Amino acid sequence: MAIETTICKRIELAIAKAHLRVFARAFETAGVTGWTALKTVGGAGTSGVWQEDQLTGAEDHIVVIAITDAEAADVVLTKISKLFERYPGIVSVTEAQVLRPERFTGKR
Amino acid sequence: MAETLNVAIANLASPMVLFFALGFLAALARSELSVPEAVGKGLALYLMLAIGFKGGVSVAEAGVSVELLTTALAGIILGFIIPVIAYTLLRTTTKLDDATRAAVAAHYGSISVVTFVAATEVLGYMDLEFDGFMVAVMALMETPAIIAGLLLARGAVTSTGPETSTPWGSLAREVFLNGSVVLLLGAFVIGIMTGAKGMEAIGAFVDAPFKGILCLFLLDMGLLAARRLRETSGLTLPLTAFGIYMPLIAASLGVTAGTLLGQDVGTVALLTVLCASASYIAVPAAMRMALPEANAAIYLTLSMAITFPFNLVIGIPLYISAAQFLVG
Repeated sequence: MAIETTICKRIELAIAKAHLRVFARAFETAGVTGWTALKTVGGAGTSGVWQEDQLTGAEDHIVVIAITDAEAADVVLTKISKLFERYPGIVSVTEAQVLRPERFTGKR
Repeated sequence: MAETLNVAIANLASPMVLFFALGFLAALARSELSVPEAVGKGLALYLMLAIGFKGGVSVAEAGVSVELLTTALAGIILGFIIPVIAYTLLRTTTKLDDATRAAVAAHYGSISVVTFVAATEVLGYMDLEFDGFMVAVMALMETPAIIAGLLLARGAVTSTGPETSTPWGSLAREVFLNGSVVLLLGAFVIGIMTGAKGMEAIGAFVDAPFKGILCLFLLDMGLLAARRLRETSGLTLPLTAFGIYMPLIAASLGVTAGTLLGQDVGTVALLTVLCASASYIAVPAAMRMALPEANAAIYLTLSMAITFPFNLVIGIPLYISAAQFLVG
């Protein structure tokens, strides 16, 4: 018997660690109360190559993952696109199959 | 002149500079040598704890003086003035955007703890004494430049909606309660409170391994500086030149202020070093939060990979010689 899953939106953000609080506020005000931040070790972008650097911490980046329903994802993306006017970062949205879909419903 | 040369040669041949050079060359040669990130952070914490505590013990022995207050006031005023000079020079000599210019200016108005620590080692080698309260002056000079940088950057904010506004609460915490200020001032106060007894209790920890740990930290700094230099694009000739002439301009203000205050050679030299150094611990974190528009690679590379090596190798002996020349 196949396990029944529900399709949700998986939002993945790559941002500076220093800006986590600002982006977390966007999730929270959109009703998305669950997200996970992951450490990164390095990468490259418009400012060149960067590495994790605990001494200054200024170039540390993180990946933030949140899974939510389509409606809440739209609200989050609207808020994030506004934040990108000032804060650097990238965002991508994919579809994810989840168990227990009630856990991913935006609380608005 | 001969003495200046001797100091410069002794500084170049010191384990501190040689370990920094080793790290720098190893990174340029793409060696696999590395200091684990958490270890590097731990070494920085140790250095701040040790220098703060030793400064506090020294003040406990000498007592709080008027010199402490006047030097601290001078340091704070210089912390506001130097970023304005840096900002003006960057505006006339480079094509940096407003936000990056203000962020760079803030870095040069603030201080580098490790440059200060290295300078105290050179002073020790030369048997030149300095006032222990300079540690407190150093901690107090970390934040005025951040405030000056934010004021200079007022016109640089690209979006001002409520969603994109700076999180001022977090920023205030970062500015006034950043780890280096808390640890430096905290250790300084503990040093004052415990005095000679405290030193007796933990002297073996804060004194004996100090030089070796400083060398290990400088090895890490050499690795970080060279990697940053290798990987950063956008560092133009005018910017690189700024990383060298700006410390000299700031140093001239520091040495003048210290001399006018009537301090001894060692204390004047340290005030000069504080003015000439650029932050790479407290200010980058605050600027990243307050000015996300600014290019972090530019301000980090300038302070870590240009100005720090310049001050370590050439600046410190030069500033000490200037203090000796003026104070006599």
